Amino acid sequence: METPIIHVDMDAFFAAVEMRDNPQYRGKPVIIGGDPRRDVRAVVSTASYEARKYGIRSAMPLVQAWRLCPHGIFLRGNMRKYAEVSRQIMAIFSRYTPLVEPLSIDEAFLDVTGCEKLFGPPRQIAAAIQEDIRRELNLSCSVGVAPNKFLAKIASDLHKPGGLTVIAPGDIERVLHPLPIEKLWGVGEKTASKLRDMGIDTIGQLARLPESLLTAAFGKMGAGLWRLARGEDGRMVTTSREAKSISREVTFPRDISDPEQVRAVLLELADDVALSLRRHGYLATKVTLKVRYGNFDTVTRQGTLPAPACLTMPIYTRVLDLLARVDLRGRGIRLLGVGSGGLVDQTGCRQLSFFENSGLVREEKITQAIDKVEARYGRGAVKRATLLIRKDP
Amino acid sequence: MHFVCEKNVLAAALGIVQRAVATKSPLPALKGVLLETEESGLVLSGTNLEFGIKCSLQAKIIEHGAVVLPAKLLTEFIRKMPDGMIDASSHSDNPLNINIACGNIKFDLSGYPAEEFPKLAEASSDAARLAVEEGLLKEMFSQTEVAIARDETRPILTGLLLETEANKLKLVATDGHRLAFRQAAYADNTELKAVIPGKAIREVSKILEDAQDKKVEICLDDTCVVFIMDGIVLSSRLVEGKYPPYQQIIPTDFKTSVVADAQALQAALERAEIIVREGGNNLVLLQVDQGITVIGASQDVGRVEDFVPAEVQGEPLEIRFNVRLLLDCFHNIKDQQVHLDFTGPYSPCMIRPFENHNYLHLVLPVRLS
Repeated sequence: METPIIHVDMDAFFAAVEMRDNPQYRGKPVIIGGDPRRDVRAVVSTASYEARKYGIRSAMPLVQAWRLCPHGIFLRGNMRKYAEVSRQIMAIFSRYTPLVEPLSIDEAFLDVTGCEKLFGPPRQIAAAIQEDIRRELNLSCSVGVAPNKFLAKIASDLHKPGGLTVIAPGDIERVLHPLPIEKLWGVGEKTASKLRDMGIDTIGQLARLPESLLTAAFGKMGAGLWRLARGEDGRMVTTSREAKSISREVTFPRDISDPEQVRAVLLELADDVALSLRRHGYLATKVTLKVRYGNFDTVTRQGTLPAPACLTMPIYTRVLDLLARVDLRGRGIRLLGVGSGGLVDQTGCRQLSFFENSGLVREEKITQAIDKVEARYGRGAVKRATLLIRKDP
Repeated sequence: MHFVCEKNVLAAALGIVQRAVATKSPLPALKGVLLETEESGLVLSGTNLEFGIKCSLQAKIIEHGAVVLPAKLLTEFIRKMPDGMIDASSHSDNPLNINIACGNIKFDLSGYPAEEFPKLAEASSDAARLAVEEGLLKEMFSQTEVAIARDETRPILTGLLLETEANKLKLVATDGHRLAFRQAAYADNTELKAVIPGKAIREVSKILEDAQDKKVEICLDDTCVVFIMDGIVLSSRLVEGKYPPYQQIIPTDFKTSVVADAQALQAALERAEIIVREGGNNLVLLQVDQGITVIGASQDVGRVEDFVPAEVQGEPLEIRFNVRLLLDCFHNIKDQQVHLDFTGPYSPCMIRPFENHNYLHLVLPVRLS
């Protein structure tokens, strides 16, 4: 096996943690996402395997899940706890290899090249990790072992929950080809329906097409799909990932339309984005505004910042410019989002200007002071007056 | 309309006029070139409403007329025609349909009425007029153009300040981080002040030639500027607003003064740039002491240290710059030696050619916090 990659995916992670810590929930349908009587707009974040029997899936509106399973245990979840458990899991991985690439809170890729002498063949390492997680954390995970990342992820998904699946180079066609095309990375609803129109339902059918045909239909992405369908994936396991964007969005319990309220929400989001930029040591060069209307129509607008920024006001001001280009008249808004992109390292240096923007210098000082206060007394210790007097939506 | 002209002449004229043609516009006529006949030949015009270019060329006029033809199609087609004479005529039953023939090739293009084409900005009859040697103007523009702001946060800075006073013609550009200043002797002592959009300046620069025997006429009134060149007229609206008082920015007292070989320093900066652009921050450190040490370093990439001998007077100094800003200035210095004057690590550095004191560039440093 060339580069042995292991993909570990926790089974119904949030629900499993709750069931572990609350014995009374065990064996019952547990749904994490919120209280369906209050959080009318919330979606299912995780459903236990018992709940999945009722047809409940991730990302399904909570209200629908409630209808399917009214006696289910609906929980808001405790992100802080899950993050802590996630850290414990990642710590277990790092016993076996330094090359761990967390994909999300509950899954990761591990490159175990050169670890054989210490811990045995990749399959044995995978089993050991699975056992460590079960014994020490009392949680179940599914593990895939394969020559590359794509196949490892496919493998872990094959026998859920609790499976350990190895795809050896000789098995690729047998395992991969019967799978539906949605299992390919990058194939979403739109691409899938386009492929189905071309008479392609399985990965095998796609792999047998000439590459040129896919390139003609999908451009560069076509060539990528073709290689994946043949089980080829050259991407390395990378331990640290450069952030490409930092964004925040909020869905309202009831559609909002008051322009003042819209601006207040955007200010709050810009505040959050700016804080996050500063924490991660980035400056943003671009900002995006996302507006989703009550009917789910979504528009996004992007603009460039006059200078790279990590302060609220430059971001907020630009977002307001972008807002002016969005038609809000009489339309209820379901979701608002503020994003920042084109991130550059804030190496602590600043190009001086002949026309120093005194407002900006002042904001920088104020922000530094607020950051210090919040570092000590917690987030929200200092608030903008505009956001205090705001009526809650 | 019916005219005959040389293919290469028409292609060249279209190439120039096309630069002013709007690429995106709801009005189809704006994406076109206006062709008009005159006694002496053909006149082509293109405009994007911000600026316009008019170009006259020799042609044999058989029948007078005017029409707007799609610029992109026409330019591309004429360019691909074989060398020779081009014969263009409108259909007798539809004057908007133009038949263009060259040898065995015939192609029909349908256009729009000339009345739909907007009038190009024109200087009023009482506009001020300046005549500047073409080669000199080209050099002056290229030395200042780099410092014109590209982003629109302060619209006034997206233009180039042109002013005349005390027998001097002065050009100034600044994007806030650097400032370029160039002046030349000018016979007239009328006082003028106008801010010309950077886009127009860049287009005029491309048209200008290094000629010393030709003059460019610049007409200025309150709202527009017109450059009259050999057979080509470019007119543009002016940028509205008041240009910041740039004289206050130019320092007069210095703590450290350096004279160095311009090429050696430029070469050192270019080498440093290779390393620092990889790291993405473009930051170089200049240590000014017995000479200038240029240091560029990026994490994970490498480090370069380069000593450039120089004559240094005054206090030693360490100062950081965005290397791009320095290089933009050095590209415009033809002299062998260059003056660099500093007042401190957080104040602008003034760069001047050793001989030519009509040109100076200010570059602000980067502050490490």
